[in-house]
Amino acid sequence: MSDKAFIRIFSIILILGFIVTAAHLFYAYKAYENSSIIHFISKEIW
Amino acid sequence: MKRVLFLIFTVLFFVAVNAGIYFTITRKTGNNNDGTTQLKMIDLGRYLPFEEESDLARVDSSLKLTEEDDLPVLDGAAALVPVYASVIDNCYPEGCVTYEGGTFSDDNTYGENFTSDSKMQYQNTIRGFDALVEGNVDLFFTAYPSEEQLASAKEKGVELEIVPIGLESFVFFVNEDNPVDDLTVDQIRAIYRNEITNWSEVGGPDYMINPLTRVKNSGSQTMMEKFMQGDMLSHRKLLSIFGKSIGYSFRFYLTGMVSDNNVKMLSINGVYPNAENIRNGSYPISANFYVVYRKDNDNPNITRIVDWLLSEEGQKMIEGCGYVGLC
Repeated sequence: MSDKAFIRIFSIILILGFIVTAAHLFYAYKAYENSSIIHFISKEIW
Repeated sequence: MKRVLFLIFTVLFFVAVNAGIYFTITRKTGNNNDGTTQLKMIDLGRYLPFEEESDLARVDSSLKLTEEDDLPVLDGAAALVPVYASVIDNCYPEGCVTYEGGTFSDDNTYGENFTSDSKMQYQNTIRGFDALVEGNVDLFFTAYPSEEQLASAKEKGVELEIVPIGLESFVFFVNEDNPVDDLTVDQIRAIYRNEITNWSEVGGPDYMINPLTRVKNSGSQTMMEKFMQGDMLSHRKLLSIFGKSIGYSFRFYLTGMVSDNNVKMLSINGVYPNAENIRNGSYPISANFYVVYRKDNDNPNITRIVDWLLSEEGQKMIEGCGYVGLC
């Protein structure tokens, strides 16, 4: 794999990874703020 | 080859991070209390008046309103749907609860499809209280309104009559597998003031405590703020999400309407919140629930219904719904 191809693929993975993770974190935060507390506690793993 | 492995490792890293977020948070969230799904906190289809299989309390009512009467529109908190649906079932004429399209559905924007002229509505505490103040609802069944709600009514020049009709306990609950079964009132207050932050401080395992709160102006949040005497954390703490949670609700909502076997109610000061302990006053956190109406509402059937609710028949109906009567 050439340097150019490696950097291009790595950059794409990095950008996509950050976007997906940021979106997931944002969704999870919003869902946590508003979720049913009964449901939340019920799904807890001990 | 090394570069390919590095790229695969990078992808796996993001997969692992997202799996961690999913198992820690996303998987446990659900039944959101905002927007369109707020009103699907209960299975409303179980509490439809005039349906043979509904879970309503039926008594031999001496109050029978007819189609010629000016029938008050009833609405209320999710936890009190069985009560006001039972009032309609016992005292109203059949046909006064109507659905768009002719049949009940909980699949539209607000989780129900009552027509605007239906005598039963279901807008839950926040929207329903506003509808009462606006004059679109005649009788509203609720926990004691919040300071904010009362101030909002006052600001609009609306005076409210708030009549206690039954007794309910306020309960705290944890996951079924949490070994803690009992907390004191002081311990709970300390947890919700972030003075106790680990379950080991109250006889449990070494886990952070995640004290969950509810949306402002909901019935249980208003009750909790009252219980905390105005001194509690203002919102859910983000980092404590990695701990094990505690939450609060009204007893019948938790045990009768949602009935989730994976959660358990806690004894408070050594007293379990069962009907007997609520009635005899030994359970320490009980509160009335109320029917609220505008003082300037001149529909004579409002006071007839309120009087009936306070009568032996009405109290029997309230007990039949799973709540505790006033005496």
